[in-house]
Amino acid sequence: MLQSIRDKAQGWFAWAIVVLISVPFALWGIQEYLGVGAQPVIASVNGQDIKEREFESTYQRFRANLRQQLGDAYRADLFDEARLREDVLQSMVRDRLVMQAADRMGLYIGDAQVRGAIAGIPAFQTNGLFDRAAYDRVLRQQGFSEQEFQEQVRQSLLIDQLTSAITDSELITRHELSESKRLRDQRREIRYLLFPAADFVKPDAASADEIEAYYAANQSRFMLPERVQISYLELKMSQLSESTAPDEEELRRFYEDRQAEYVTPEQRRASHILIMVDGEGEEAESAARNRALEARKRIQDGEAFATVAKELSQDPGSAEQGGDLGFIEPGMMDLSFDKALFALAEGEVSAPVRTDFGFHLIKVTEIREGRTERFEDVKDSLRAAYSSNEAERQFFRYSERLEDLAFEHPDSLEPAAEALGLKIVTSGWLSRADANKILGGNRVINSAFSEDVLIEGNNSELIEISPDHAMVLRVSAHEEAVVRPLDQVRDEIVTILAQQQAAALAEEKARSLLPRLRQGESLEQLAKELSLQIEEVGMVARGDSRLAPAIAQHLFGMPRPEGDAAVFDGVALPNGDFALIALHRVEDGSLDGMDEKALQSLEASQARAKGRDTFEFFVQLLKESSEVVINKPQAQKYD
Amino acid sequence: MSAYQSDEEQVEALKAWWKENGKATIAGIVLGLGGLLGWQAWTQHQKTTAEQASIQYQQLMMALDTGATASAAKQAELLISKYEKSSYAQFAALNIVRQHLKQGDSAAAQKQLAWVLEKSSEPAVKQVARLRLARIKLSEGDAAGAARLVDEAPRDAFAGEFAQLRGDIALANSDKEAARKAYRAALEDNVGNVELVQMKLDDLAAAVTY
Repeated sequence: MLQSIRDKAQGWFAWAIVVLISVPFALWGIQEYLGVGAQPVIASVNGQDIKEREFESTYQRFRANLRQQLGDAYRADLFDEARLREDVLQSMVRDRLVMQAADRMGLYIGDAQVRGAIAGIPAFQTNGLFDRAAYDRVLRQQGFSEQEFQEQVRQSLLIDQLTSAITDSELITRHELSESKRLRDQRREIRYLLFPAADFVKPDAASADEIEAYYAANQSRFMLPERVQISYLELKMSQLSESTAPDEEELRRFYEDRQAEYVTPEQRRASHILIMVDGEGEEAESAARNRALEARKRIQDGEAFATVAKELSQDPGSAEQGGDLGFIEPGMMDLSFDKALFALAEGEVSAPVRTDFGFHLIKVTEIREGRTERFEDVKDSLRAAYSSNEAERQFFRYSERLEDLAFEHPDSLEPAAEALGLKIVTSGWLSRADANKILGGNRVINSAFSEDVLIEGNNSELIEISPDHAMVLRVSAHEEAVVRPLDQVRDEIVTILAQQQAAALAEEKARSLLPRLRQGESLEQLAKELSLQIEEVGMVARGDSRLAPAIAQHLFGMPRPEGDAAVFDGVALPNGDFALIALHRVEDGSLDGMDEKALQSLEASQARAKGRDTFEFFVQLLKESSEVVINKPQAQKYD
Repeated sequence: MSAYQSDEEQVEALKAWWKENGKATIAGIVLGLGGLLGWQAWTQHQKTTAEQASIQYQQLMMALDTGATASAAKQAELLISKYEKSSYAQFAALNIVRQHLKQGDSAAAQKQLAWVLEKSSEPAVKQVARLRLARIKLSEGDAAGAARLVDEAPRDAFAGEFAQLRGDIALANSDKEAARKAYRAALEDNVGNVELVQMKLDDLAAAVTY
């Protein structure tokens, strides 16, 4: 049999076997490329996907930051979740577009720049110096690995570079400055006659037919909104009372699980002098090394390290501080830098150390021993952490049971209430606009009016009001929206109609007088005839508070008077009054009398605003020439 | 090779093959490895250059930010000459324009922008440079030069801004009707500073004929 295989192994049989064997190898891993079983793609920018996991973690981080920034003012229902998701997605798409443009243009951020930026972030500093422990803690809180975070920083630096290249370079020309000043500071001289609508109101002007017609045409104005009453079960962490005092052994295990939090590695405060390598090749290398050696010689001959650093160091961040880099832990710097630093004695100056940046002379100025906090010393804080940990776990268990029970018995809260020892509470009447009248706000309202709860009559899902407070609700009573009956609103309608009619009459009267003004009659003549008072306002700037906004706005859109003849026009005010306006004179704004400094600061502030606009258009153009696909339903998914 | 050879025959065949193809094989391997190493060295070099330009650009922006104008001018000049082909050189040019204008050197400002317009291969950067160059030309009284640039501009996200500039040019030429039309187009095309363009338009309101 083996012989026969060997015989055939030369011909078609061999090929068939080779093909059969090679197929699985060839296709191994292909699902990665075909997207079979891969996570859903939320959006794609020029073929570069934004996957669900990445979107979710960015979104969660964004919310966590929001929560942190707002502190006690934060409420879960403060923001419309779907809207927030959309915003986060749009900003991710935008970042992608800018990143891709930066790549196309060959922009590059090296490791040195990333490290420098990280060391400069205030959240990672203690007393103005980089603090490794703070760095680790913040990263852990934000759910980043160190590598991810560095990548994130690199990307944001790249985006910043392109953004500032376009934004900060914006300018305003002298001509534009003068034109905008001419228009913005323009002043116009105005007098006007006011025709108050009140003067034209007729008693009982509206007929019964008109009232009914208005009622029929404006039903939505007289609606009572749809209302519900809800019953709910509330779960609060503070009300869960199982005792959770740990014994010694449990506590010790807890300590060991969190060892990392109680160990501080050795830290060394370092100063350095950086000599960059100018160009490439042996010659440049040895030139730089020699310069470093010369610097070292000067220090050995007695000059202070800080003085030499200030004079020679090409690290702009630290040179001014005499080369001081603050405290450094193992792993923060370039490998060779690290090695040299942790081999030095305090006060000693290293030989030139080569890193990606160039040559460094390193000096250790202070050493902080590493430290481990012993179990005995932290027992109290451990105990507190342990019980809050336990309380959280218990709250989580209860929440899960509540959710399960409410789901298993969808048409009643009783079983859940009984099993968990909770009390059913019933609310007053609530409309969709009543979020402020109920605990949990919009989330509760949205849930109460959702199809599943309102129409199907089921219990809601578990609503997380805050991390230590949850709720399940159902609708116990429901009223459709109704139009208030005509008798209840008749008086309202009569007033509205009378006002409308009076406004129309005031306008008609005023407009009928415009031709007389335009033919040369004076405002005084008209005022006298009508027993009205001329409003002598005089010169006004845009948005002058002496004028009603509607009049001011209209005034600055009127044609300029030619010669001495005033320009006349009329405008209706929101309250129904009507104004006949005489525009006598226009006075343009001017740059005269502004000194160079004032001009420059005006230019700077306008350029800043314009720069932001320019970058918007810049991104818009990137978007226009890109293929951006957004898969809506996933992006808007509720959680 | 046929199916049934003895070991010696196979060795012979291999030796013969090697004699014939050995040099070519070695040459191939050497070339391949050389290429690979060369490629690596090249990309490393690219990265180093980009990183150096990036750091210098960062320093330039810092100098501009702190108002160290003299040293900024020198840094920009150095960046532009040393990394001529890099986008960072173009960014440096864009950012030094304002300093030239402050010193009243419009010619130098225009030269920088014209250079970016010519060099950049990124349409969005070109538009930014073109728009600024045209605006400076108008400010210098060269309405015709500005108009030529505006006419060359492709119609894209910057359409509203270019329409506004067309209006400014028309106004400088005392053609109020064309200015009104251009400002209206700017408002429709999503111009940045809506408030200002509306003021420009309002200021040109035509007298009503009675």
